[in-house]
Amino acid sequence: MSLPAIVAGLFLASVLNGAPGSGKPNATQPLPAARVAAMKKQPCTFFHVWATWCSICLQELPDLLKVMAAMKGATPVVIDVSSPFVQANFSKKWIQTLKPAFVTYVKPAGKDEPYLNAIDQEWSGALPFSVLYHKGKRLMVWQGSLDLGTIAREVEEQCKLPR
Amino acid sequence: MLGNLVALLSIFYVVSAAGLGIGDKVPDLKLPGLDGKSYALKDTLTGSRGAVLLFISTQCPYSNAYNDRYNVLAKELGVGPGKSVALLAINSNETESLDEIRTHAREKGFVFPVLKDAGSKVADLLGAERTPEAYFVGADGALLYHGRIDDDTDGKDVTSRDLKRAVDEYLSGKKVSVPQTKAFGCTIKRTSKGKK
Repeated sequence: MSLPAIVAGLFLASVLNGAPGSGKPNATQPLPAARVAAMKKQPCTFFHVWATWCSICLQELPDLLKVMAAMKGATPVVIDVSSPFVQANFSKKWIQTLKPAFVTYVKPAGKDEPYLNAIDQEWSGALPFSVLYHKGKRLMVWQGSLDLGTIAREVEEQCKLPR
Repeated sequence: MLGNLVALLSIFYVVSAAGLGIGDKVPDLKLPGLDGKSYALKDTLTGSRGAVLLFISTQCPYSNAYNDRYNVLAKELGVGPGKSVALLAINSNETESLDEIRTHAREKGFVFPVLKDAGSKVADLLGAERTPEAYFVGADGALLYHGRIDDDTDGKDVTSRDLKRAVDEYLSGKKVSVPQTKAFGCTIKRTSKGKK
């Protein structure tokens, strides 16, 4: 096999690995900023960003994970941006006790600003934060606590619209 | 009088939709302090070369991680000939009571005034969304910097003291080189949800 073919194969594999929701449910994977950018280009991807220091996040995440699992037409991407120390000692274990029906992610070690810009250029960084992307276009954004009674319907309606 | 009030409220609602941009004039703000005094931005700027408006929280761990650095910053800004830049901390969280804010400020030994923004009106006016979040206003009332304090919440790996650099550049007559930065933080708890 030629070198360009190997490189192309590796690139394709990295893109496929970047597909949101791929992998084993109830597992937690690191999500580099480059993969966030790739996920945003896919159809209807619902990102939710949380951290252990965000009290609203901790309150709503158990129910939100269930709502997101049942959401039709949108792929859930839940990202924990707690510090690597907290991820290793608490948050990864905690989210696994909630038994999410899909893979969840953690922000790798590194500075905040490039990462939050990768998720959404217009986001100030306030948590909790959720955003719906479709093929690179931002459809909706939520900051602060979500209305769990309506969020699934709002997302599903957006994802049903012909584009 | 009533006309002025209506005009002021109109300005408030127009500006609050998007917040202020760099270079915009910050309207005069007047808020009560924990010490019982009333603090107006205009009066603060009259006696200083600028002012830092810093949105803080008693409960947000991200804001609390900066408590010591708030004090260091306040001392740095206000000390030295010609370097008197005021620091006014603002608590806009509806979920944090005046008593709680007073206790927090006392326990942390804050050396700067802490103001209570009832109804999150000033946060709305400036477009503040999280804690901690800083605004630096020049002596002429123009917004010169908006964003984070530095680039590392833990304080162990700070490589850029963005707010301090902006103030130093302004005080030395230079243009602020990086007028906007971002960082993670806790959403300011307003009465109504911050959905956009």
